[in-house]
Amino acid sequence: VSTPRRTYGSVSALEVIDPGLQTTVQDHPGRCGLQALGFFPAGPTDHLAFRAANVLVGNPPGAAALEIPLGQFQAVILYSGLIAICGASGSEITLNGEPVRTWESLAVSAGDVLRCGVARGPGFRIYLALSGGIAVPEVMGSKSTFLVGEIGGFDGRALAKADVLDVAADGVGRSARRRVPVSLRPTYTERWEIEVLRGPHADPDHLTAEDYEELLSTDWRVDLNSDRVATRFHPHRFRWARRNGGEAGGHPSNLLDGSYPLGGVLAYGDVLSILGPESHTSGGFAVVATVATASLWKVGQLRPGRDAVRLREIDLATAASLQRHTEFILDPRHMERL
Amino acid sequence: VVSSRALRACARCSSTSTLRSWTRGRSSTHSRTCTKRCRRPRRWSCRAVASRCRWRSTTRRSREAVNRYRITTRPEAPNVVEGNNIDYIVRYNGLPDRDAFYARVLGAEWWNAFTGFYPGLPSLLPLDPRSELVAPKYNPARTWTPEGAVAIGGPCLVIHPLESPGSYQLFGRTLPISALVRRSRNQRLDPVLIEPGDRVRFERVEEAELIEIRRQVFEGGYDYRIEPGTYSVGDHLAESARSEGEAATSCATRRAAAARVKVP
Repeated sequence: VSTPRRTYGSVSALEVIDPGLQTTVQDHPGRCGLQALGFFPAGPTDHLAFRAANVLVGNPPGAAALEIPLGQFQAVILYSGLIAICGASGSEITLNGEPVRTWESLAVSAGDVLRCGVARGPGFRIYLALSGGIAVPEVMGSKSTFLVGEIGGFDGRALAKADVLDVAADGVGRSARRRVPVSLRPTYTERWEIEVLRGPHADPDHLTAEDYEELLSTDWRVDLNSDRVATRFHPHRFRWARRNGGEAGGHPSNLLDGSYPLGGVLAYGDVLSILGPESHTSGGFAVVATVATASLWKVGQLRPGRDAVRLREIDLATAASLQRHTEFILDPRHMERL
Repeated sequence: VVSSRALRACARCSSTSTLRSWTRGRSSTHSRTCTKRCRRPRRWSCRAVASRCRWRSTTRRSREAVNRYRITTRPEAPNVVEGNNIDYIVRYNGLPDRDAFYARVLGAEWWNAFTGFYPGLPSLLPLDPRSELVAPKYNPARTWTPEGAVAIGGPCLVIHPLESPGSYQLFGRTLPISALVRRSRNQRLDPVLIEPGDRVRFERVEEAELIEIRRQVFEGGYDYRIEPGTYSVGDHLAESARSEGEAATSCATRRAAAARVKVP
């Protein structure tokens, strides 16, 4: 078993006491450009809260930080700098027993104890950024943990008790605190509306017009079998515009294998799934809709077994304006100084 | 298994840059052939490398994957009721028994049309149209598949490079084909063993032998059988034209059988 080597110019920043459910090191946009060989990018499932946390501590928005599903996490801080927590609500977060606020950075020093309780929601994942950004070696161009392939991040795995994380030395002593204005924070809910683009395999070739109507009007329940690989919905049988998939298989959702987009809404037979950052890059099923890149963060905050989702179709121009809105939120000039 | 790998430059257009390399120090000797760029496919041929994979049908791990699916996902799905997927594939393709199915898999040379899904998973199609097999996919997908599982979905035969979800019908297990963490001698420069354009042949082994070879792979003492070869599209098309009638008959039998079998 290899342990990650300390990157040159980094300092110890945090020792894990309780790693929680499946806490991982991620960066944004992750391991790009390798889809032809079967790599999806990995990276955070909620890119908005992740990047906001980084901006709050003065990091580049894509710097390596922690993704904490369900919010249960405890650690001792080993350096002086800034940290910020963004994401799911309903978690009791304390520093040395004193409650702290999310969506704003706070100064920490060596010996401080950070505790995050279980996030009761709405929302599901919490992001913790440390000034300087987490220093782990890059694997195939990214620091993101790819759990399925067991590469990247901290030794290719989720964090465990007593792991010590380093940050780049330039993050030490940073003190300019910031806060995301309440008006710019994303709204979390238990009944989500997620923006999608039609197809590539929608009506009339694959689904009927009625099916497509149903796709957009059904309240999809998020299945307990949801994770970084895929967010699965409750089973539903569409009528389909064709009897079967021909040579590609007997079910009408079966196609000859091809590439999938990140955020694709895949008809796995009678179960719809949204492809997450650690999903597979290709396969033989119909992609009936695709989540707009700017809206992918919502998928990361869906709570398995509780939340409901409605898909709303938008066009490419709207998707681009959503993207601009996201960039507006993440602009450091729009953050309040504390 | 034997696979042949299209290597270096296409003999026709000498292109060496279709796929990006991810290792900075990697030289052009590992670039692959240009299947798409070369505009004259009938005359196209390229040098290739062949590799051989060992494979065992119905291992304990494949049966475990099917059983986990029966317990956690859908017990009554027609493709898993027997506790394995092989009997279902046999019925769906109108084959007399399992041995006929194995004969088809072992007799064909499988061409890697596409790499993807998870790192290094090949989507193999038979070069001989008489060997075509088809299977519907799981409905819904399986959440766990063992590494090394060999499966078929639609017309594509796949080898799972990692433990992952999956939805193709499992029928065997072979050696690891992607080494993202621990590189074997064959994968020092590239974690992906079977690249687009490679040809693969399967060899049947007993479970004990497979486990022994897998142990050798993990200990770094096994060399995959990879041989250079030449492949001519023109010859392939001529050969396919000769067996056209036979292929049509076999296809009709398969379709008639599939119509009688319940889809998951």
